[in-house]
Amino acid sequence: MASLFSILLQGRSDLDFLIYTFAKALKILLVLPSDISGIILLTLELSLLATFFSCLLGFPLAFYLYISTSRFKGVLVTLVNSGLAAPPVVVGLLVFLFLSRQGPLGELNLLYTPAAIVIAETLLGIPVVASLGYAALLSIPAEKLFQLLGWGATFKQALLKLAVEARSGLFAAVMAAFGAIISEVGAVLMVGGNIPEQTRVLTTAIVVETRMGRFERALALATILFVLTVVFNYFFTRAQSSRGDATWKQHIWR
Amino acid sequence: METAHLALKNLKQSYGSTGFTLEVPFFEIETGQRLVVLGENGSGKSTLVRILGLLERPSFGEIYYRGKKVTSNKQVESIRAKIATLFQRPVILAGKVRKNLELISTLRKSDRSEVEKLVSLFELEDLLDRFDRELSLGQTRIVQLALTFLGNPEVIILDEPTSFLDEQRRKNLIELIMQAVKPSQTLIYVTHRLDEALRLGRKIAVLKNGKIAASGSPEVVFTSLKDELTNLYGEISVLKGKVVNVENGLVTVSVNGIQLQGLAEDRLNAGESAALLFRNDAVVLSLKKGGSSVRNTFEAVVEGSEPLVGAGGVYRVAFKQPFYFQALITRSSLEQLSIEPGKRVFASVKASSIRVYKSF
Repeated sequence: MASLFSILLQGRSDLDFLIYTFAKALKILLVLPSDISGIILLTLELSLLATFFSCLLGFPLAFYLYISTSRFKGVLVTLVNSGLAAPPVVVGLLVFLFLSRQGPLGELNLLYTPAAIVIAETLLGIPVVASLGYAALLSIPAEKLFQLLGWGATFKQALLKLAVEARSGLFAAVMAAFGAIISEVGAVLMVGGNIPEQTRVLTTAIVVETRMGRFERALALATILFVLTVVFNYFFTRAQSSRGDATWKQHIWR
Repeated sequence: METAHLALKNLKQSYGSTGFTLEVPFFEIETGQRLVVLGENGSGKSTLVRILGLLERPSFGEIYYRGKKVTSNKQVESIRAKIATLFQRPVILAGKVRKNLELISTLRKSDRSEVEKLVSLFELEDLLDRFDRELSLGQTRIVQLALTFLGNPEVIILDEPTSFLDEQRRKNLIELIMQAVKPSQTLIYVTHRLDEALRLGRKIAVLKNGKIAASGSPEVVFTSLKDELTNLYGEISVLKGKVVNVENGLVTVSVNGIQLQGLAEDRLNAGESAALLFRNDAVVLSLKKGGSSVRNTFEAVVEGSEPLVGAGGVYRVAFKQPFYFQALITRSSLEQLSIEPGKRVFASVKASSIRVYKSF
C-alpha cells in the first residue's frame, strides 16, 4: 500500500513537471519573444518556398510520368516512388557535398544559408509531389482523357481539365510535401547549420532547446509547428473537399 | 469525283501485348454519310474509332481528311476540333451537368441556343443541376452524347452509344441521334447490334478480326456475309423494303413487289423504308399454296442448299427470287420437296415471326 502511494506520488510529481512545462510554454506563446517570431517567419518562408519549388518541378514530372510511354517509365516511376523514402540525411549529405567549398557549386557560397535549406527541402519535396501527383492523375480513368480529346480539346486543354478532375489528389500531394518539408530536421541541420537568426527553423530550434533543457521553449515551438501544419492543411482540405458525392453514400449500410 | 470526307489507306495498327491487329487496306467515308460499323466484341471497332477520331496514331498507313493527308501534330489538333467522338465508356467531367455543358460548349465554341436545343432534344432539363456522381450510367451516357453534338462538328463518331441504356431508351435514342445529326454532318455509328445497323445503315461496314469483312448497302452486306453474320447473330434473313401501311402494330412492307406483314419494332409510317428480320427456321416451305392462317406466302426460286455445319440433318436453303432469303429445313423435307437450284416452292413466314425496323 505504501509503495502504491509512493508510485502515485512519484506520478504526481511527473505530472507536475509536465503541467509546469506546458504552462510556461503557454506563457511563451502568449508573449511570443522576437527570436521565436523570427524563427516562425523564417520557417514559413522557407517551407512555402520549398513547397512552391517542389510543386513547380514535381507536378510537371507527375504529368510527364502520366503521359509517358517510354520503355524507361517503369524505372523512372520506381525511382520517384523510392524518392519518397529517401532518408533526408542522405539528401542533406549530397546537397552538403555539392555546396561545400570543394564541391561543384562551392563558389556560390550557399552552404549554411537559407537558400541551401530551400534546395535540400525542395529535393525532398519533389518526389512527394511527383509520386502522389502521378497517383492522383492515374486515379482518373484514361477514358476521360480520350473523351476530352473526342470533344475537341487540345492535348494541353485535356490535361488541364484532367488536373482539375484530380485536384483533390493533387492537393493531397501539396499537403504531404509541405508536411514533409516543414517537419524536416536532418537535412536542414546539415546544410543550414542551425545558425540563430539566419538558418534556425522551428525543427532545428526544437532540437537545440531540448538539448539545452529549455523544454518550455521547445514545447512552445512544437506547438507552433503543429498549428502551422494544421492551418496550412485546413486551407488545402477546404479546396479539396469534393462536392457532389453520390447521394447514397450517406445511406451506406456499414 | 468528290473527295471523301475521311479515308484510310494501308492502315495497320497492332498491339504488341495482345497480338491484335487492325488492318484496313482502303476505306472511304463520304461527306454526309451515315455509316454503321458493325462488329462483335474484340473485332477492332474501338481501335477504328480511335483512329478515325484522330486520337490514336496508326503505326502504319495514312489518314486523309477531305483529301488532305494528316501528318503533323498541329494538323491533328486542328482537324480534331472538327471531329466529335463518343467513347464506349460513359464519362463526363466532374461537376454538375450544367457545368459540363458550359465547359464543353466553350471548348467547342458553341452558343447558348445550340446548348438549349440539345438540352431539350435529349431531355436533360431535370439533370442540369445534378452532379456527375449522382447520375446513373445511362443518364451519364445521354449527357455525354449531348456533349458530343455540341459545336456542330463535321464528323460525329459514336462508339456503342446505346450501351448502358434500357430497351425503351435505346430505341428512343436512335431516333434522337438521327434528329440531332444534320445532313451536312458525317456520322459513323459503331455497334455490335444488328437491329441498330438495320435501323441506321445506308452503308454498313462489317468488322471481323480486325479486318473489314464487307461494306456496302445493308442488302449487299447481308448477302455477301451471310455465313459470318450467321455465326454472330444466328440463322437470320434480312430484307429491305418500303412500308405500305401500318395497322395495330402490324406493318405491311413491300419487298421487291411482294407484300409482307410483320410486327413493328419502331413507329413506322407509310412510305418509310424498313428493314425486316426473321429467323431462318421460321420459314415453312411447301409445294402448294394456302391451307394455313399464315399471312405471308409467296413463291420463291431456290438458289442452292447446303447442310448446316454442326447440326446433323438440317439444311440451309437459299433463295434468289423474289428476294434473297434463307430457310432451314430437315433432310427429309429437302427430299420430299426435291429442292434443287431453280426449283419453285411456296415459302410462308408467320407475321408474328417477322420484326420490322425503321430504316433511316
